[in-house]
Amino acid sequence: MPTDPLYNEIDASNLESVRKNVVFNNLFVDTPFQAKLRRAGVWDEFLGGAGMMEGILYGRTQGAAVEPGQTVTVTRQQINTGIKFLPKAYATWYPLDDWEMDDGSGTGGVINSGPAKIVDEYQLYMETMVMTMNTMQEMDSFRHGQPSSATVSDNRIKTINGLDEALNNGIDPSVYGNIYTSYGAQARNGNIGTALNSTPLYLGTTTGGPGQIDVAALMQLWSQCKVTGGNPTLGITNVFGFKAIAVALDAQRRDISNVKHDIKWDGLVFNGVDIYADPLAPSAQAQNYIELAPQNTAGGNTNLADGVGSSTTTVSFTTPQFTKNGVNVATSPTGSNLPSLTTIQPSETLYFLEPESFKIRPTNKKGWNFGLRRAPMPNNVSIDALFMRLGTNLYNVQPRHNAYAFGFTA
Amino acid sequence: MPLQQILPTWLSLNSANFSSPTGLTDFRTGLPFPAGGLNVGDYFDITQQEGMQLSNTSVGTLLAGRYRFVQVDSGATAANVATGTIGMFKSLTSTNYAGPINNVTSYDMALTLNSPRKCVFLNPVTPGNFGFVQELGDATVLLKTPISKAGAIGDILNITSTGLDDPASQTIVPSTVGVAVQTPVAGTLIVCQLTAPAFQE
Repeated sequence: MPTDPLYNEIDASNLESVRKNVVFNNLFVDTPFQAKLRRAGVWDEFLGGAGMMEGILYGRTQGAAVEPGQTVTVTRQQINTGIKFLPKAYATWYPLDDWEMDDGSGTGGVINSGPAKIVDEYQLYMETMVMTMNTMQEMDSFRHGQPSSATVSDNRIKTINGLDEALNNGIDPSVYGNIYTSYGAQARNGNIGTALNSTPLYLGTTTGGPGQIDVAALMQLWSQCKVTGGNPTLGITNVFGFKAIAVALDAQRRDISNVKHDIKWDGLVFNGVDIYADPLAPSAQAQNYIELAPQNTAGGNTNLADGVGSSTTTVSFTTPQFTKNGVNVATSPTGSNLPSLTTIQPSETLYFLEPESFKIRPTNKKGWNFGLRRAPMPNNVSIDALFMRLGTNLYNVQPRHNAYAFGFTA
Repeated sequence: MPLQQILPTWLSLNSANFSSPTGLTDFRTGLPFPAGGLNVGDYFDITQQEGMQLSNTSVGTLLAGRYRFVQVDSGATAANVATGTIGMFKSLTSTNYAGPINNVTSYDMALTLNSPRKCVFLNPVTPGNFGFVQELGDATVLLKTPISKAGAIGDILNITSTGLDDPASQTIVPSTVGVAVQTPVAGTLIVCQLTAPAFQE
């Protein structure tokens, strides 16, 4: 209620001390996975077309040691094919009231303008939309973009084709409990064999509880990449996965690189792999410290969400009954260490990646490359809808050059 | 006023309890700030996913349907303006065809019980203040204690002066709010398919 007099002397004679054009971010976090991939030069603009096809070689020609003069039956089998991904559309939006705020022209709104303006509300919304978009992209980078199926529990057909489906072998469940029997619409373990396979490494106990990460586990991941010809140079894990790795290496006195963490532990190097902490990478613990969807407090928009209103928080899942040659076995035959019919706590994850095998495919059409679409409401005197849009995808053309582990905690 | 699919809600829909018809108040004068684009009577449709995004889940999870920004009548009984209780529009009732528009009172106000225009409160709103209500779709409603019959899915639910009932006589009457999608249990929140017609105010 207004006071009488309306202003006291202090309020009538003093403005508040305020730093103009400064708003401190207390919601969003960094998105280092995208940044590292971009820095690695994986940006490959999508110029148009009926999807993104990548040719892959999966077969060899026939050959053998021979005797001079020997005859052979010369046959030919298919050796190459393609995998295909579709561009995925993202948008973020808000209603723009040009009575209140600037409309992008720079003249300001009736209210949010002039020397009394503390913050350009239009600019703040622009920057927030970019951060919203980046947050969705970052989280979806760790998930998948396939429809639900007998082995995929969630429908994410509208989102980018992220790591969860790329780094799978069609046999073992991923960190999110899904088994991806195809990649880029190409069936795994069929006529192309294991060409598109990457086997997850489970570090938990045989009863599904989280285990520890150690040098042996890191070397196993590195080995899985190297044996296929990969060259892992980028490690991505959640901040809490990073903590587990740092603690494990320190306990074993193996963290001797002293290259990236001499002052602060922003990154550490293991056998040529720069491991970075990504606050939005899959984790069971991160949700305790940042609000991740579907967590949702009173405001409704105070959480960080991916493209389907979910997040990268890991939750328990149950493994299938693994078989080998048609016979039930206690542990996956792939070397993943996953036990059959066990409820797994995925906990933290660590990815060893070869950036050159990734592609980020934003459209080169500026209207859909963080471009704006302003849609006036025809019979409203001041309100427009403002959309920021992005057409893109993220996928991997050589999944076997990459590997990841889950099921560990600090 | 037409369907308004582009509007600010400022907070989650079921957190709104504004003293201003725009949701913005000049803290010095106490006057409504005429800005932002939210107006009394704005109504809009949302999907299930949008309902999730616009929910304060500690109060409730909103479902797909039509929502409207209204003023809660200053004479409404505050205790009966709560999550899932039924509100009655005062603009068109059995005895009053020229009441205030987009003004909703509580179900215990007898003069409004035969109003064909009903809605569901999403959260407690101080009488005289402004908030969002749901008027079409699947809504979470609060049943009174006791209810008149053993509840069953598909039951017609009617509003009475003591709350939302599962009546013994299962016939549609002017006080019918909707059809139970979950089994009605006295004193509990269940999902109800609202059967009121779409309307303008």
